[in-house]
Amino acid sequence: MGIYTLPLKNMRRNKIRNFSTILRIAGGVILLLILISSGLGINSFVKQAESFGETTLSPNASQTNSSSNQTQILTSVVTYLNSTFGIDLESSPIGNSLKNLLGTLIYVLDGLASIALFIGVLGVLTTMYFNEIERRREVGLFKIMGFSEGQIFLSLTLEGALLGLIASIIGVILGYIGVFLISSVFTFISLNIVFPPWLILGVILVTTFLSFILAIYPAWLASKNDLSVVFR
Amino acid sequence: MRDGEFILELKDVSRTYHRQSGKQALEKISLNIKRGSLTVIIGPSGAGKSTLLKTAGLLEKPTQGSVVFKGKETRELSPGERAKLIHRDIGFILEDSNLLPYLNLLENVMLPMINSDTENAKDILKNVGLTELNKFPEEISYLEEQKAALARALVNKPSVILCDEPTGKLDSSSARKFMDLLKNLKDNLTVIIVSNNDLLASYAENLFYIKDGVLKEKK
Ligand SMILES: Nc1ncnc2c1ncn2[C@@H]1O[C@H](COP(=O)(O)OP(=O)(O)OP(=O)(O)O)[C@@H](O)[C@H]1O
Ligand SMILES: [Mg+2]
Repeated sequence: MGIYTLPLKNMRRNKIRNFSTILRIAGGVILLLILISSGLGINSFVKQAESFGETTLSPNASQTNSSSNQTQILTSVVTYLNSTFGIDLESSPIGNSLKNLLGTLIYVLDGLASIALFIGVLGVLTTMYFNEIERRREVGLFKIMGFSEGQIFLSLTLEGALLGLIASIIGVILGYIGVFLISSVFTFISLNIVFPPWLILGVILVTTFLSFILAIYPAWLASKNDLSVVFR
Repeated sequence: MRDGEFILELKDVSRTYHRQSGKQALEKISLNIKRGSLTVIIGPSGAGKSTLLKTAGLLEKPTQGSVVFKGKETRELSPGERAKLIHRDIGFILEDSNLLPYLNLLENVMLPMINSDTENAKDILKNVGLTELNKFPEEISYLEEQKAALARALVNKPSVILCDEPTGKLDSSSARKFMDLLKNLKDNLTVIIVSNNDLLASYAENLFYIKDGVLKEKK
């Protein structure tokens, strides 16, 4: 079966730790998805990708424009507040500063979403470092079986990538559900939900790639282990 | 490749570890291993047994001297080439079976398999007397673990099996069972065993003693 299928079997080990790492990454993915798909987060990313979507994916995707989506949300929030408090916020200075505040908030959310994803993916590091002695034993075993350091390194980085892949798929599914829950709860905001295929694919690819990159150093370190743990 | 009488030749092999102050772990060891022979090397703790086995098994290079495997000088081989040779032709059995706890017995045995063939792996497991292949390492005895380790070492049909204290975790009756099994399965395999257990000496076709890195043949 070789050592490249091991990362998959490896998910059986440290179930709790793998599970918590996957949850953390998935959490980041969910937040990112909700913010992007509702037209709030990662503005420039959305705009870029949307023009890409226009030309290659579907011509009618152009009806959803994230910046118009934003103003739409802002206006609907202000209208909602107007009707709740029974005052005309629109014409008062408070209304304007509220608008500015919400505008800033969007950029803060931008950052938060990326940070959340990044912190989630950092879980890969702790998972890879976890149980150092068990890892050294495993690497020693691979060496006496005749696997080269390169093969061992690749197998270990694949483990990191696999964590990212599983987590992002879970995150995308939960995020998808989350977006629709949010849009059905906050009906006062007329959300234009954008959930194009590139977003799903992009988030999965980016998360998996990030996890792979983060696994490189611990994997390289582990592949250099000597045989002293297996030989006595 | 020369098809000589000896499958493995150590010529004046010495090994010094960096941290050791002058003292050599192996001192000018010369050893010729015949094809199909069973060699046992007995020695106390710290004698250099594991160092000798790692050197003979191409896992580590000697500081001085040469290791000739199947007529081929191994000094100039790259780490990748050594790994390949080990993978195809050398099986290791150590004191700890090192079975991966998250794989069942069949998966453990198939782990190093070059031509993944489940039936073949099952046959090898059957030959060592293991039939409950879905069991996990924590569910079996030490003797069964070592049997699985033996099956795993045999799975690529190597020409040499190297054992470091293979019965170290077994009581003497289990140790005898394991050694009998190894002897029966050996066929035309070449086996080298290092141990500090005198019990294993009785299985030797060629018996050696090692102490402070010096090897002596017992006639
Ligand atoms: N990685 C290492 N670094 C430094 N010295 C080492 C190393 N490995 C072994 N040695 C030293 O080399 C000598 C031989 O060690 P080796 O492990 O080969 O002995 P051994 O016969 O296998 O002993 P044991 O029966 O305890 O397994 C010892 O003096 C040991 O301290
Ligand atoms: Mg030893």
